[in-house]
Amino acid sequence: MRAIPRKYTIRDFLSLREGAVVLVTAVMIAGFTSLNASFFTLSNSKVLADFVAGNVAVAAAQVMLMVVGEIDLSVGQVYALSPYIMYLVYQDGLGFKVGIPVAILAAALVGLINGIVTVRLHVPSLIATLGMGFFLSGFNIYISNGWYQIMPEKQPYTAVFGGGVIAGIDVTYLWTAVAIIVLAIVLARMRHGVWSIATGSNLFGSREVGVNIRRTKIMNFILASVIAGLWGIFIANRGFTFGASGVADPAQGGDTLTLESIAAAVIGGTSLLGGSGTIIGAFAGSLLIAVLQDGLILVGAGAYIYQTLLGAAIIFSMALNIQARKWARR
Amino acid sequence: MRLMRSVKHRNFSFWNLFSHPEVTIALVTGICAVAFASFFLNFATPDSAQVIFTVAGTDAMVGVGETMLLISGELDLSVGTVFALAPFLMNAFYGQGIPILIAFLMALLLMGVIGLTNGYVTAKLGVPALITTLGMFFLIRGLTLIVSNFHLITLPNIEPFRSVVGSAVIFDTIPIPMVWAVGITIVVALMLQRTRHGLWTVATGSNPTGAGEVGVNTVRTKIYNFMLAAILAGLAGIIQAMRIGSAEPLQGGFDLTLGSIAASAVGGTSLLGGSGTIIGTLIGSLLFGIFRDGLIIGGASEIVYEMALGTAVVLSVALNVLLIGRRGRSGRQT
Amino acid sequence: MSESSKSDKMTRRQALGVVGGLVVGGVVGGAAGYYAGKSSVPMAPTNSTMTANMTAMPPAGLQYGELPAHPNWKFVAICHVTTNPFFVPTQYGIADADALFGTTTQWTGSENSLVSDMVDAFNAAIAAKVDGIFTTLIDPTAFNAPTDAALAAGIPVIGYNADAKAGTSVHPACGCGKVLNDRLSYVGQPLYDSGVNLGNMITKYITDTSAKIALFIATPGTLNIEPRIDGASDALAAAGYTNVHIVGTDPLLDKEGPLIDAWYLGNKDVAGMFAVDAGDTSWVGDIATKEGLVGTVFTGGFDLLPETLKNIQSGATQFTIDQQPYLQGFVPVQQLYLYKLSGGAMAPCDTNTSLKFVTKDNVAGYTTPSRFEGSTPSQPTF
Repeated sequence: MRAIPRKYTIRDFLSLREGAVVLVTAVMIAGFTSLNASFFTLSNSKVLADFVAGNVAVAAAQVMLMVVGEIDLSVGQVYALSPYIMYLVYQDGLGFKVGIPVAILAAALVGLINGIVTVRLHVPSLIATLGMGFFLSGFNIYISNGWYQIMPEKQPYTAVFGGGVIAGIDVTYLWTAVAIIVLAIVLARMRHGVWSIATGSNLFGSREVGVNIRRTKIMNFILASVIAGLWGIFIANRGFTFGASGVADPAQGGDTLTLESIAAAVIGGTSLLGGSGTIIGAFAGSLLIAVLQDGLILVGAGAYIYQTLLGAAIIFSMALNIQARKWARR
Repeated sequence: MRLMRSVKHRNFSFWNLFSHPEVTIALVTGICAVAFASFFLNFATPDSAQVIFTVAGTDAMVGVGETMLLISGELDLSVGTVFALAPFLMNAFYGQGIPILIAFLMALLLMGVIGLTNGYVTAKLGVPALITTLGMFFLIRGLTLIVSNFHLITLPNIEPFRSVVGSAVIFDTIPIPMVWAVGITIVVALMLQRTRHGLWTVATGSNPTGAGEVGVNTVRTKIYNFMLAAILAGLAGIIQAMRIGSAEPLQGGFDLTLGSIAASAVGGTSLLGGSGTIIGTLIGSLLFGIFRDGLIIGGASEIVYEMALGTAVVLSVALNVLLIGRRGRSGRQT
Repeated sequence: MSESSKSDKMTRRQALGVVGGLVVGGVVGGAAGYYAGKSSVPMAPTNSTMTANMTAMPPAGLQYGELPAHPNWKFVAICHVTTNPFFVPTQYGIADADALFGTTTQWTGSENSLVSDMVDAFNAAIAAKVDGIFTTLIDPTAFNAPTDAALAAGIPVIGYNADAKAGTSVHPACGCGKVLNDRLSYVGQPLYDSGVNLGNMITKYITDTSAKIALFIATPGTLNIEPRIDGASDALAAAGYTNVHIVGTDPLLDKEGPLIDAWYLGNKDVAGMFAVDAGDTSWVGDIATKEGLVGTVFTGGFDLLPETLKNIQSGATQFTIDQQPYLQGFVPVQQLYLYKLSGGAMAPCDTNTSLKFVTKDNVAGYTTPSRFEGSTPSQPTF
């Protein structure tokens, strides 16, 4: 930090981890709009919101784990597991009042197992969550017979948990906004966040000053799974965006969601080495991916290009990030 | 040829055998094989063995490349899509009139270039491997889709190229992919054990700063390993395409990437770098093959296969970790 | 988690770990065996129950038939998207046929259209010496060698749902053009023809040949739906339609919707949005409803997802094509059973599981949950 006040330059903006991402996104938005003006409309912004509705929170959850140097490859499957369990409990006659808490507990249990296997059995989280992901993908099909269920309409609990609309805004978006703010505050200001960063950046040092490494990590695993499960529930209840009924789909999320959540976190500037992470970056990363996907199909580019450009975007953002950090340090 | 790790023992005891990760995984694999054979009538037959070896062969080849990278402290997520791209490139070259063997080598060369890019961006520019290779994963997949126009292609049926590379079966039991896999395993294991590159790989993985100080060129070592991983992945892709007769743009993918990492971990390689075993990866791949084949023969559905595989992967690695002790930078190698 | 370096000697804990690990390994193998022994397709009463209780009254809702006693024949059904909801009625069809004929069928294959996985499963089935195999043929050549190997080993092979493209190559035996694969029969819809029918149906709703038409496909290039879009675009091209766009979306149901929506926003002058797979078909109707296009933009496609049926009733979707997936499971089992029962005399026959169009006029018959559509496992009652 300099003592002499000065004008802020582009370099400073870029030296923010999130800076590069936001810049790239802005450029893409401008580019797509110039190719097809429909991109920059309210209708399209709603479609964009559709794309990110489920992803942002899960990306933020990955950030929490990446901060402590771990990763979760099973989030996509938990995203499908929780809503289906909620539905099964409801079908048994216990209603959503019981169904939703049970579903969240199930997600928490998955996170707990992931955490214990990683922290206690010393299995690297990549492997532990990979195995859990496989297991759950089979399990999801097993409990659902492969078929999705249409959710019943006009239920108070499902309205709160994703299905409703307040002041014209989907409840899911409100939950997402809350989650981003809360997680950002936790990471920056609260003890759990500080301990997470400490765990990720200096394992032995933190232990020596009294940070409970095990509990911190396990809590982040549970947090990640619960978020994945919760947002799976929100999306299931929300259904097709305009009042049509919700759907409990055993195939929702899946590997695509897992990969995209990692990509979003990474593009947003969180490093897998641990010790630092940005929730806002996860949001920016999700947005970038959504703009890319939405924009490409809107302007009529082939479905093929998306993957290529996504890859390029990932590498480019990160390289830009690193370069910007170097600039900032000069 | 001592391909097992040499460890100083204070006194030799039966239990010390288990400090070799290959022994653990071999034992687990053996037990599973015996279990399947005793439960299911047709498991212990040449046809069944063929299926096991086919599945294991592909995983092992990709896994071996991944293992070398893991030992040097890095990771490659793009192997799954490199696997898919290679046969398309080879086919494209062949379509231009280039003889199949040259087309084959050219495709492998291009895979090397991809590996070089991965290595350069990671080791030289400092972008974390996870990010570089994740980006490359998508990039290559996109390229594959463009080159293939989303369609699968039927590959030319040129003998003896096809037999040697993909479709022959020896003694009615061992498919050629497995022969390739075993050969590659031996060569790479020897490389790890006997060559300077192998030594430097372990050094880079266990203590990058220290290694740099004693003159190890860590950057170049990593780049070579990235190239090796990409070339092996491409080779595996071509071999599979030759075996089946067609190539699909979406084959391999993330599942193959994760499978190769899992096979390495199950086999005893530490994901933290610095120690690992090539032979263990081969045996780990065999374990997966046994599961795949055994559960189908046993009449299990896909659901059971997925659940069992997930559990098995975690348990095997947990077992390994338990027996070897938490492996940080201990510098063991095979 | 102590950092003290571990000696090479085994501590008691490690020894316990070894033993525990071996036990666990054995248990996993045993559990796999246990689960494998259970029927893989749910909701089927077993044949042993039936024959054992031949003199007693059948359970409520069931009735007994009289089958010639025969060994419990084991069949293997290989699918390229084992977890796709489209094949749930297929699995019910298989289960019902198994119950009826006293056979057992295992459901396996690949989850995401990977031919190598399917070929491995095929070869494993041959190794297991099963009594019959039926598989979707989503690759023009990859299944030829395994099929021939199975036939040589005396295992009948049937193709269903997707057929290897008829090639221009000539069959050596008869000198006539033939489908390249030697499967004994094909049970399903002729894919290219169904696409042509889709194209022709579109011309009935959209008569302006320069109108913008979108054809959505979830996974371009895959052999089970690509021929449909080829058929549709060829039919439209032959009829003189010049403004047809083929748009690839995504195999995942929840992504297809926003992608179609985004395409629409960039192409608001579209006259008709059609699809060749189940997910996209359900979405084009939904997007039409969402964007207020009902009555001005035509939609239609394939298969009978509940949302699609709802859209047909509401008028958002004009038609869909029923492939009768239940029959695609039932008929192969039936054919294999008869083949085994007659010692090979009753050869399997090609079966076109029909090209029914479902429109507002006949949709009423589909709207109650039915086992035959996959929406409920319950058997019909009378």
